[in-house]
Amino acid sequence: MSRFILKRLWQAFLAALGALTILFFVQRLTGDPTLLLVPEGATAEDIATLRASLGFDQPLYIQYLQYIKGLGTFDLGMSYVQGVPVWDILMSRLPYTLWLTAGAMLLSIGAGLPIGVLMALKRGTILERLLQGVVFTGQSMPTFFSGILMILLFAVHLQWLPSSGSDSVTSMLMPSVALGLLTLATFARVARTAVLDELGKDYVRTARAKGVPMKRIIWRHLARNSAIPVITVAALEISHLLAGAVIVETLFAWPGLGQVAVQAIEARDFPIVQAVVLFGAVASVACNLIADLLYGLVDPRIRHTGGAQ
Amino acid sequence: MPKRLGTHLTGMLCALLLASAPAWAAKDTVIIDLSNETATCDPHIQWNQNSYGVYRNIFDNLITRDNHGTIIPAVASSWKYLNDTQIEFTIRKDITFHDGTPLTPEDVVYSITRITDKDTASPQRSQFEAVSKAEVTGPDRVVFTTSKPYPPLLAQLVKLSIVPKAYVERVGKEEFNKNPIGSGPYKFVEWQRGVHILLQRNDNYWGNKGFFEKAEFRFVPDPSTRVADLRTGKADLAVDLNPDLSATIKNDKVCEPRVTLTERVAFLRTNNGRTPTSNKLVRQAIAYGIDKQGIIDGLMNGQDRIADTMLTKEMAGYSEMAGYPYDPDKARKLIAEAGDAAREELIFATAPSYDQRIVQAVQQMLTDIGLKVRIEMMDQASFLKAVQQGDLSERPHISFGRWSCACMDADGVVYPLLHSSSAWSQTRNATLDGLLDEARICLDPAKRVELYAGADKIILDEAYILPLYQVAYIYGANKNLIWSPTPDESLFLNRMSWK
Amino acid sequence: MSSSMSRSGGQESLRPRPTLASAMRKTVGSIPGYLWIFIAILLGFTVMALFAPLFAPNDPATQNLLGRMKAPGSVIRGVTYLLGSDELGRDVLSRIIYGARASMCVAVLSVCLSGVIGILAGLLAAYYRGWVETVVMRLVDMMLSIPALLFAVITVAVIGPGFINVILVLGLTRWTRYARVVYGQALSLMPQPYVRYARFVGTPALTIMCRHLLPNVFGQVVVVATLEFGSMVLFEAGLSFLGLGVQPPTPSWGAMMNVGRHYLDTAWWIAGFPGLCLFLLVLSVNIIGDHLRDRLDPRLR
Repeated sequence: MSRFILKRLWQAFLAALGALTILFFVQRLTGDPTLLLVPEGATAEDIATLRASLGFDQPLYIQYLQYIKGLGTFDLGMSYVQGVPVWDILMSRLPYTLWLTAGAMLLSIGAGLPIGVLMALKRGTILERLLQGVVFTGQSMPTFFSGILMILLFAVHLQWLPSSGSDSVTSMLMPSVALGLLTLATFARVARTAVLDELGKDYVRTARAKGVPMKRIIWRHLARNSAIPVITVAALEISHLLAGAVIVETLFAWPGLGQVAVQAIEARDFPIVQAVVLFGAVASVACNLIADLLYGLVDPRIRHTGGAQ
Repeated sequence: MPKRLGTHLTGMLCALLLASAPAWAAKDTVIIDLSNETATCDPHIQWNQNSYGVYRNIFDNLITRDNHGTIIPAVASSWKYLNDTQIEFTIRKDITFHDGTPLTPEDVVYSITRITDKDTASPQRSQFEAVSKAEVTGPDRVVFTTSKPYPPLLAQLVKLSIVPKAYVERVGKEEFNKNPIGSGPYKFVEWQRGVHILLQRNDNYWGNKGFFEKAEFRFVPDPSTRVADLRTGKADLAVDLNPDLSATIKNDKVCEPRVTLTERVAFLRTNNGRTPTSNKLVRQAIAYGIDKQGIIDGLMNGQDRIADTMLTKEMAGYSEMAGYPYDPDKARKLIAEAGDAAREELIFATAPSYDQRIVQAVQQMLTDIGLKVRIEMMDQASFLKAVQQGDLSERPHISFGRWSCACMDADGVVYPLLHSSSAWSQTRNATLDGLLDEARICLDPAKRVELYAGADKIILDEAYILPLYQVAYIYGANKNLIWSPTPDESLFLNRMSWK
Repeated sequence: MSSSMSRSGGQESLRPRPTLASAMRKTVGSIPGYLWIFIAILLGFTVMALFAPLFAPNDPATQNLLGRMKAPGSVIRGVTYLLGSDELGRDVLSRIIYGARASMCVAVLSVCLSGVIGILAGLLAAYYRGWVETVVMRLVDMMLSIPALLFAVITVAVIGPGFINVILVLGLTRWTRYARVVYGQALSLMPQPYVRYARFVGTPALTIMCRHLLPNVFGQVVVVATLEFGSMVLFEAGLSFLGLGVQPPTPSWGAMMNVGRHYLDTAWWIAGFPGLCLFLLVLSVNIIGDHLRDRLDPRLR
């Protein structure tokens, strides 16, 4: 068990380091932030001075080694633009990212799973078609578009919800829905497949033949046995939401990590981009690891001897 | 650190539970939507609108401009030129910083040397580096010395914020940026990264006190969302709307567009070092081929003003010139005259921050006169790199730009854009360089106007750069907000009030 | 796609796999009625994209600054704007028709690119195992640990936006899905007698991969590709929102929606119609993909 975790951590460490290294060099191919920082008309000499003070006059490999050295002491560097430690920026954004992820997951799991189960149980009926329609609709719209439609409807015209910001529970609703609609479809489908899968198995047939009510079967057996694929998908989706909710965060002015990352890419504020990607990598490893461990809890038959997927 | 995250979470939970109830009854907070997060609150680091819009309320400037653009006293109550290169300021004695310490001439000297000192690595250095020496000469006197006569000095010093020397030296650059202390009409309260900056009125302010007790600056990147905020009363003032968005709130019940002409001029930079734009005929053809009035009327709601030269009426050094009229037939003739080389594909570089409707309209107009134009969109950093680095033959043929030196002086516009020594220039003309060099150190206003007129004639004749229009800046404001925008794009809270 | 299907379909039936021709016949026969609607929509858009110049009533790039944002059905200077005019006075209908080209081209080509990369990586990893497998699978891990949209934005910042670059970026971002599916399937095929026999008699690796492995994973790849197609269309729209998609004046539905969203209250047709088309396209592809998956997923048979 612990060997399994160690192995996974080692692989994850390599993946994250690799991603970070590529990112480090690729970003620097795009130039540096100096030109964005100086006012219009700055002389070439001033530009060079500022560039040197930010450390961009050093050879690339030295910049890289310095960065890695800093990472070793948990120093993520300073933001070129804001002049404050990247760690501070990351930490102030993180809670919002977690809230939004939680909101989106709550919606997509809370609504997606029941819809999926219902679709499986009512396979081939009108109800399934209807639910399918709902799911597909949510899945076939770009988030920015469903987002702006919601803002116009619920904020501007009906005045029920705040149009942007992050200062109340209500302001979380629209971004969560805009994000959740996409993942909802995934959960519904996974749940449907998993349940269909289980329904065809002997124990369910036996139980049904014995006259056990469907509700009981679902709760007793189906829920547990379909949990694994759902957990797998949840881990993947959560890790994606944690740093990838770029569009929704930009649209709703939600101060999460995705928004800060895109702004940092535009501003060539490399340390922030690197920190967010690093966080994304750590989060995705953590999510997958938790998922792996949950498999064992949900289904004791799975033992971690090396590969449990 | 995890502990910190915990406090953040609980803090946020509380904030979420105490959902913001709109406190309309007594309007004590003004809420302003900026287009991006403020970069710094240390006034000596970043110079961009989302930063100075905030920190110029926390800090006082040495001198300032009134709503009409006239330079008026602020921290300096008066000034006089001692000779061509020395200017003496009298510093007010009744100003205190927010921590209670008085503002002294030492603070003024410290403030300018902090920027000009290379070790500070201030991006604003180029705006102040003309000042070679600053010294305290009396209990309320400061003398600035420039290495050469420098006519736009006062215009540049409008941007000089005064910081408390003792405090900055005690806490250091990083801490000062996090907890800035100034002497301005508003005090810094908190900066929740990514969310907002809160300011509180300084009730001991020496000058015009603010109307609102508090001010909140929010960071809302999407312009449509800023408009939605205005319409729902979530924000009282929003910056940077485009003309079409302003049209959507024209008849709104809650808010309205507020427009002002700025000193910013939109232009096309033509690359004089790359064929075919190195050919004067091609450049002139482009100048004749663009229907500026059509763009303004069709796309800008007629709010902007045609620019014949890169200088606007409000600038020192301006003189009236007749620009290129819209004459597509003449343009076609010029292209025919220039021969087949003119029909090579032209690269038209642009960045997302510019109005893409105009870029596309210009492309269409140039296509109509027989040129082949390819739009190349880059993000801002790549764009700046492309237009001002490397050999002229590698830079794009045409690039869009909007220029403001924030100093209302011809030198800040023409010199960096057209003098061959400047990285931003794609022009190499010795006669022009001579005129610009001379005007740069000429203190006689009438002579300067003459010199710049001479320069403008060359620029126009050669069509080195193609001015399009003087940019109108569009804010959206709640109808109850009493405030009028200024040409220098300032956001002074103590000039705002509520109906 | 179709060529490889027919080729493998015509092969000697030495191997234990259903011939694709018969499978296809069976599939076509079992298509439920409602699905035909979506197949028709998809085909309709494809034809529209292929023959855009025949359908478009006007030139999609011609501007008319005095006839901006006119409502559907307006007639300006003798030109009818059936679906209205956009923010530069261009014909929305013509732009939608031409926009189908860009949007579908981006999706098709990026699906092809990522499919090819993914299939190749998956096959190589499963066939050679050892260090090839390690490298490929670690690469997959790495790609999956970077949020896709962030990766895309960074890449676009490096190579610049534009039609070809968007395809490159999407191809380079999304190949991992195919790689995983192909790898998993191919791995389970490796111990099969016919594969072992082929290796034993010295059949070249490439032949084994193309002839024995690929045909057997193709069904799954088609399912992934269909669903990816929808995601790609949405992804391009998302990049357009960030200003990094297909560049003007080339129309794409995503870009039209992104510009038009500012006018939803004053000129809804600018974003509304391309939005509707994009929605219908993604919807059709997703429903078809879902159906294919139900058909081809062995667990649901």
